[in-house]
Amino acid sequence: MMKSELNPKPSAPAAKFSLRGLAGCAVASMVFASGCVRHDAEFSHRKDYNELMPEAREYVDQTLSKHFGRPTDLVAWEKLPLKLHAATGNVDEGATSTAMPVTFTEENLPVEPGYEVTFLSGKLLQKSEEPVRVEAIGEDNTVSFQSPGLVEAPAAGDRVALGPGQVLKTGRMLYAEHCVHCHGVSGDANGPTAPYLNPRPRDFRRGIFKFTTTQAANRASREDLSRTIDEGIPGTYMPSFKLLTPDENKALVEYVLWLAMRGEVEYQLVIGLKQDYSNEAVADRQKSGESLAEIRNIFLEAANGTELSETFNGTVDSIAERWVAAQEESALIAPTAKRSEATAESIARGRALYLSKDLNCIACHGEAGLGDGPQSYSITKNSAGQDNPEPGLYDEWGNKVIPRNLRTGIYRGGRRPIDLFARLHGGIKGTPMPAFGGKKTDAELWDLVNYIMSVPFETPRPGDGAKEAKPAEAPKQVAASE
Amino acid sequence: MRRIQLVLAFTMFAMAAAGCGRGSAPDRAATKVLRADEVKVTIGNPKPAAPAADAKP
Repeated sequence: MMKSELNPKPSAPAAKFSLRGLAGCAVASMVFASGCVRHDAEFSHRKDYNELMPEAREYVDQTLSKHFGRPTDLVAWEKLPLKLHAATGNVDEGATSTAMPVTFTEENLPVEPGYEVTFLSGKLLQKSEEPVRVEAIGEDNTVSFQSPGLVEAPAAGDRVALGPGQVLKTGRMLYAEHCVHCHGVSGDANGPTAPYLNPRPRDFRRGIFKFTTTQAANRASREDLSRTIDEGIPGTYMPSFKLLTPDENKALVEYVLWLAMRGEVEYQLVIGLKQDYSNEAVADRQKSGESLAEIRNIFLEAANGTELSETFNGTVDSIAERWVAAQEESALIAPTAKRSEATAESIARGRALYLSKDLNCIACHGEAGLGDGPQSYSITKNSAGQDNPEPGLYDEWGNKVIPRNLRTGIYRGGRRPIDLFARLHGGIKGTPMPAFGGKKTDAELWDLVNYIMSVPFETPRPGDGAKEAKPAEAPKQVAASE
Repeated sequence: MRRIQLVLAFTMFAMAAAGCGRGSAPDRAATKVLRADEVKVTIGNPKPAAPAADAKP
């Protein structure tokens, strides 16, 4: 009775209504909180981008979107030196609207029935609205099409792609599955896992990869990236992806290169525009008498005319040239001398080089090779002359670098003698580790390799100094077999 | 009750405005495994025709 008095009947419908509303709100909240609302992934921008005036930012957006697309709607830009398609080739004589003989110039992935056929030149250049698909490929490389075939027969010499953009697409899907949580959608090393990792994942957007077999001035080769994906990077969170098939590895390499080129293009665009069209530069120009409207007009004229597009094309050409050059055989580090046997004499010569003022290895790696040289805690300015957040060594990405502890026997670029030779010859790109190729002969570098490989087996004794230190005897594990 | 409803409605609005599931970590959109039909590729500006000498026999 008491209860019914406290909760009189007329208020019951109101309570029911409130509960229904409450439940509705809760469900809607959960829907939003669980991310049920679809958001497509987007490419991020560099920090510098936010310093540009709005018109310049819009120009960067439009340019990147036009030539690279979005993460789920990619543009396979033919100007980039990449293997974008499953296969490309030139049409031979005797083509009809239902079949064409092709001389393949590039076969990147196995062509499967059902793959699209796109012409990259000639009268059928991106002509068909309904894609024509591969029915089969004969032994004589004659490609037959699924019904109804082409609108007309292609001419001999027309360039054709089978599975257009298929390599990029496969790479993108594999990247989403295996790489994105550390390296980020844009390759900016800002994936959701990245903040918890030390060392940080690689940021591809400068086009710099640390562990390469190319000369110091060159970009990485495809083989370098392929090996890193295959083997991982010892001593870091980068695992081995040996379970990927060779075709998958190849597709992933091309996608990483595509991200690196996109990042470089963005970097060059933003850096170029920042000189005259950053908010700071615009404010300075206003102080010197120009009005904001004038500055905007100048920019829009440049953007709508040929000035910025010519600069952009030149930038892309130079980026592409560097990547093409890195794939040439001449870019590779090729020792001119065979590795010398890891004798006590060779190791002693290597140690002398290690301690020499010329190479100055001890400045970073320390006399005992523990990675505790004086520069590892005393350098106050980075390579650009800016103050370091705290004294020490920093890489191009602004991450603090701890020189390798040579006593652990763990080398991120690989533990084979040739891997260490490549590190000494070409340096570690984007880091303070310099290149000694050209500074010392290859025979001397092999002595240094022999010494470095002997360090984990040395027994350090108190009082061992530069002069008194004696090289360890060559352990069997590292003895050269020639 | 009305107050609770208001608070919930405000929370829901704030979450929607902040783009929950987009800016949060882990970013569901970014880390989503993609199906083949979820990735489109279009061909950008074509290169000029390769010289016939480049063709592989």
